[in-house]
Amino acid sequence: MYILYRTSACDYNGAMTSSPLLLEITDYSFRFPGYPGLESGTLFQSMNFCLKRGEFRIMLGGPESGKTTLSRCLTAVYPGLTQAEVSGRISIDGESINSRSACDWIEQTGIVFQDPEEQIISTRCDDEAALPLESLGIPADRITALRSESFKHFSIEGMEERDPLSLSGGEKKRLLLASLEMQNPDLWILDETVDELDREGQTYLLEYLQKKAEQEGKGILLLASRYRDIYSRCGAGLALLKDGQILLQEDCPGFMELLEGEGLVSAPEEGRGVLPGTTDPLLQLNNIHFTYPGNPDFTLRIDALRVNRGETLFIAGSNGCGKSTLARILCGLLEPEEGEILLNGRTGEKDVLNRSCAYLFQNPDYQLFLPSVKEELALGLKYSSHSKDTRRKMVDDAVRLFKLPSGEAPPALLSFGARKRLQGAIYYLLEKHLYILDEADSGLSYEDYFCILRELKKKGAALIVISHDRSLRKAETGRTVFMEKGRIVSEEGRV
Amino acid sequence: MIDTLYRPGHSAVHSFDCRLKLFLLPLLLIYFFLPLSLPAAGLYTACFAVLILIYLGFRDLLIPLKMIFPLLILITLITPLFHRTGTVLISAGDFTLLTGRGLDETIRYLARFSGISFLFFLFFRSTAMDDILLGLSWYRLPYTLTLVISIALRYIPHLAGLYGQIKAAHALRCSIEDDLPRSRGIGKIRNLFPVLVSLVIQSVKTIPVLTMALELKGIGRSNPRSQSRTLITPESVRIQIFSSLLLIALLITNLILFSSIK
Repeated sequence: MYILYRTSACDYNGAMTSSPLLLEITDYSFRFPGYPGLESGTLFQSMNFCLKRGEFRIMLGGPESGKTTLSRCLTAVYPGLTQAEVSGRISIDGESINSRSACDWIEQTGIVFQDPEEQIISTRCDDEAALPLESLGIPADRITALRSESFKHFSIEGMEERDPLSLSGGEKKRLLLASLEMQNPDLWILDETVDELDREGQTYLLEYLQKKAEQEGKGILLLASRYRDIYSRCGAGLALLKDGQILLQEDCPGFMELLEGEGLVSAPEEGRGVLPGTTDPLLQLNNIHFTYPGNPDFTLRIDALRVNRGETLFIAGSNGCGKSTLARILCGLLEPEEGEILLNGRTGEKDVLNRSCAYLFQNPDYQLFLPSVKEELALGLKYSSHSKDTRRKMVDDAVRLFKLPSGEAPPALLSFGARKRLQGAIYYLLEKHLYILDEADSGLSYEDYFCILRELKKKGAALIVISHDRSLRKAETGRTVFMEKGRIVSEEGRV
Repeated sequence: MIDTLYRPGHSAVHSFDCRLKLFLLPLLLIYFFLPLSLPAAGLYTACFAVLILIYLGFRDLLIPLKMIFPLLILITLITPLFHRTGTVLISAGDFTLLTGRGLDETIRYLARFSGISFLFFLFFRSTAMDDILLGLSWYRLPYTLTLVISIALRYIPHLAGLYGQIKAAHALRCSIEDDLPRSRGIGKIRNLFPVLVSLVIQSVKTIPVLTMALELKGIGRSNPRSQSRTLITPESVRIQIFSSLLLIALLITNLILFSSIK
């Protein structure tokens, strides 16, 4: 049994009691307005929290716990246009966050969004990184010096003139981190920033943040939906956002059990051996060659790759190595310049690949666009041979199985995690030979991720899992393919 | 969130100074609306097609045409009905479908519309959006205004990119054994509706997110801004200025010689 403590504003004894207070949340409540199909629940209820200068805290929370909303409240962009009911106070260095507009807070607080594409507005990486400093009126030579240093820190040097949208998911996050380092605010808010970074990048980032906090007295708040082993080595304090309250690790005996109870800690045995794969080839790629128009720096070359019927194949590799490009080729969304794709021994035409393969996009918003969850789910069943009643039942089952708020809820207003689950539910209803989960674990708790994986596995189709999380590889796959610079460099494991 | 038509390259149009391009762009655009004879107007449009063909390639010549294809059909169908004077070329009973004047006007509109598309495509394909922003700033336009122009200009190509993503997502939303309707003729147009509806929803969704992103970059602060990057003046700028002046002179001469106003 564990006891839950509610923190009142700054009543805990952190390690840095003598450090000055940077962020203070006092008696803060936040409630979104209700929409048809989406109840207006109170997200934060008399929440209290403090962050001192020099403190690095990782705040964990399941999907819908309000991590993204909190991060946006801390940068003053919320409540903004949300029409939310708000009470209580958030202050930075003693000044209420409501006293100024978000643009006037950028020296004190900065953020990296969970979805980097929502934050990028320039068409060159160097311009994107420089924008906040230009707004602050920093001289050009200083910006150039800072940019060169930050791009080196986050391994994106040489990409200055690239269009940020042509970068991979992880590289986009690195760009925004470099931009935040250049901005160097007092309070750093990182919304699920560890996700989509490769293992090396994750370790580097955590060490970097710890140093940043200790040496420069910055306050750092990293929001995450899963506890990772590397968190225990970085020296950051942990917190849990649950039921509109923030619980601190030091105040909760049995904090790890509490995380486990929330499904935020990996359970490697889960899902193992659900369905064995076969050696019967489903998809074969031979001598594939692909380049993006306008980006000659990257070339995908796959000499040979085989995906067997019913197997779970893990694709691992650093950011920008071509994992998503390969996945898109497999689904027929990108056409290779050379080479052949065989599906069941026959040449896989675009249309056939589209029908046979499902692709859970890294960004769920690319796939969600209808006004309600039910309509999203029903769309894929439109041309199926099922009767209307069967379709309705299938949709209702999917809503329940994937823990979606309701069939009437508008997908656009769901949390990132719920939108990812909806993505999983959409493909669960479709019969496919192959399901590709491209960083589908990003923004999801282990519990939710395994829920999607388990249900898709039950269908007996082949699965390709793309992720940087090693614990998922250990738990769910028989074979792993490692990629580097657009090529498959090694393979391990058996079907 | 934001996408553009721009593709990096080293062609002559790519290396042409952005400020000169911005100066020439409105002049070249206005020229489409001046009273030129039909062959001169056609030749003027053809010049842009040739420029795209030489500097960007055949594939790029098809892109603007593909974008405006439905509108070109609409112009071809509707324009003759509004110009029914002159020699009757096609009629159905008493109803005149096409006259000599109608044909002239249709060709003129097609040339004008295609030419404007070629001109803008050439400009945006060969000029990075951030360079356009810097170029506009060089002309002393306030930053907020240049930003608004830039975002407005980026929004259309962004929608095209979004359309591609949504279309791809729709293509995957079917099962192996589904009995998909044939997408030909009316079926193809009908299939377009869900994609377009989705596009509208997605594009509306980007508005508050864009506002947030801009605020978080400090857009809206009252202090003076700095500029980390300035446009690099190409070595051949003198030749470029000379060519631009020559082009203007040529266009004026062309207008005097081949004006349609007699």
